[in-house]
Amino acid sequence: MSILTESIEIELGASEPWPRDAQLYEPLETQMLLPDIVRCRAVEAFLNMCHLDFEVVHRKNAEDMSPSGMVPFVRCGAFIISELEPIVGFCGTKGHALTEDLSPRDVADMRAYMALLENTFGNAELYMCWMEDTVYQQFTRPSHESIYPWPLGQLLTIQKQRHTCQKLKSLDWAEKSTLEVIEDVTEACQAISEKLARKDFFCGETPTELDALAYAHLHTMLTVKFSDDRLAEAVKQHENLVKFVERITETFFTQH
Amino acid sequence: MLVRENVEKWSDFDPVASSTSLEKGAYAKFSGAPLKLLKTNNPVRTPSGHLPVLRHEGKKITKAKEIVNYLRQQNYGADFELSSLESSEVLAYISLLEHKLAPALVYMQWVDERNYTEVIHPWFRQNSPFPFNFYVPTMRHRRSQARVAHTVGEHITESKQLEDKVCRDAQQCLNLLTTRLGDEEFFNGDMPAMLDAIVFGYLAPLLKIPLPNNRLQNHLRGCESLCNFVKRVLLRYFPQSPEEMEEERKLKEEQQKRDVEALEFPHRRRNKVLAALFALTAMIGYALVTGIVQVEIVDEDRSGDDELDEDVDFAKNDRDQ
Repeated sequence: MSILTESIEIELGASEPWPRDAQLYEPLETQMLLPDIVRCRAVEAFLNMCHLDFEVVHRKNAEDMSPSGMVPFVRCGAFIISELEPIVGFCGTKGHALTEDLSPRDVADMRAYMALLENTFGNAELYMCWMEDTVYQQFTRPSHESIYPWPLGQLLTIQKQRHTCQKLKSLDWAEKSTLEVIEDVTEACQAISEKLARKDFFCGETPTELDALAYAHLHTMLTVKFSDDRLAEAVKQHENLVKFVERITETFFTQH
Repeated sequence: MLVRENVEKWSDFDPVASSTSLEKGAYAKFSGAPLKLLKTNNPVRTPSGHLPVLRHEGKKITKAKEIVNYLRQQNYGADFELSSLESSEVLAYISLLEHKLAPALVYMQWVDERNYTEVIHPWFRQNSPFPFNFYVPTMRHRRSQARVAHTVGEHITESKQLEDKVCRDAQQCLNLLTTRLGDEEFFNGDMPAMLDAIVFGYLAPLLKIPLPNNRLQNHLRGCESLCNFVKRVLLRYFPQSPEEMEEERKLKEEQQKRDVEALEFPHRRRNKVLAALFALTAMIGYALVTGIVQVEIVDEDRSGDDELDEDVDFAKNDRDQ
């Protein structure tokens, strides 16, 4: 999508209010891997924080339906928007922004922390799912194969694994050992724990998209059970992060 | 203890400067470690094929993180004065740069067709030692393509769209940096630290390398405080000014031009001879297939054949009669 069509869409979209029948398309729960769970959870959290109505629809081919090849995506009237960042932008044009009260400096900081989360946690989750052998055998392979018939599932999983390994390699993550990855995660946890300190939310009194994203990552790392629970351990070292996850679940996910 | 350390790096302000090299150089300078920057372009001289390399008392260190740790062990750190919140912010901004700006830098230098073929590739061909100049640029070109595709999104297939996306992210990042820097001299107050080194590492090549497609450079020129920041660091911590480097480069270029001209002379003659030889062979070949030479052979054969034919004819006639 070029900048022009994107801006036209946003302009057009801005004239209409948020529809009542907005739908959030996600893959089946059994088929989702860590990165997918995080992305879906983040968008859900963000929409809940904006108090926007939506209905979650599970489709096993959601990934192929999405315009950018990434789940989840929102179908909102005539528009289909995928991934957190464009969705945040789209909601912003409809007057549902969470960052209006922040100073530009705070917004810059917020964006930086979001990049940190995506970089470190996002890549660490990919690494654990596809390159950590025990996790791959026990969790990734069965769930990724589950929706396809027998030989196709095996083939697609191998293809996906190769593709993910190439991606991590080009980002210099492939040559890291699991221990180094865990170290990176611990370091990032330390950083966001410092940022959160004793506040309710990362940027003060009200939630922002940073809270949505951080919640999604932390919640996923804490709740998805592997035989290898070092990711969860890294989060559990910081009490304020655990409490933050509990608080957001209570405030924004109780009606679900 | 007088420490003599060398950081070898891909050359400074010649067209291609690697961000990590500059960043480490800047970090070491900020922390006050006495070290010597050496320019090199020979990947064989580094343990892992990557630059920069820090050499100190026989040890060689290449990984960015390890270099910082090593300098810290030797009591040369630029960010001892940061609070833990500030350090966490630094980490966050480093991620932002890696995530948003780095792909654009790689794209502009290594993936954009025009920039790559007109500036980067020729420069690398000229400035790398012999066997490497053939495959190193191409290898990096291919690797960069993969990297940009992986970070920005695999679903984008058209190069124009890819460029739009990459540039938009990078411009956003530059704007955020401008906001973060504000009117301050450095990112964390009056003294430069880790974050300054890294930002400088990204911005200096972006600002200084003259590329034909300079969309991002124009945007950066618009962010005045960032430009001033780069100039400030250059003036204070890299006392050999860019002008001097420029002069040095011009001298080198002239030298190279002369070399190339000198090299071209025998080549031209050789090419002429080769061309003449080729033309000659082609002509003779053509003549052999269809021309005069064959006629001569045929003549001999035909005379024999004719005699034979005549004999046969005579025999036939005799029989008939």
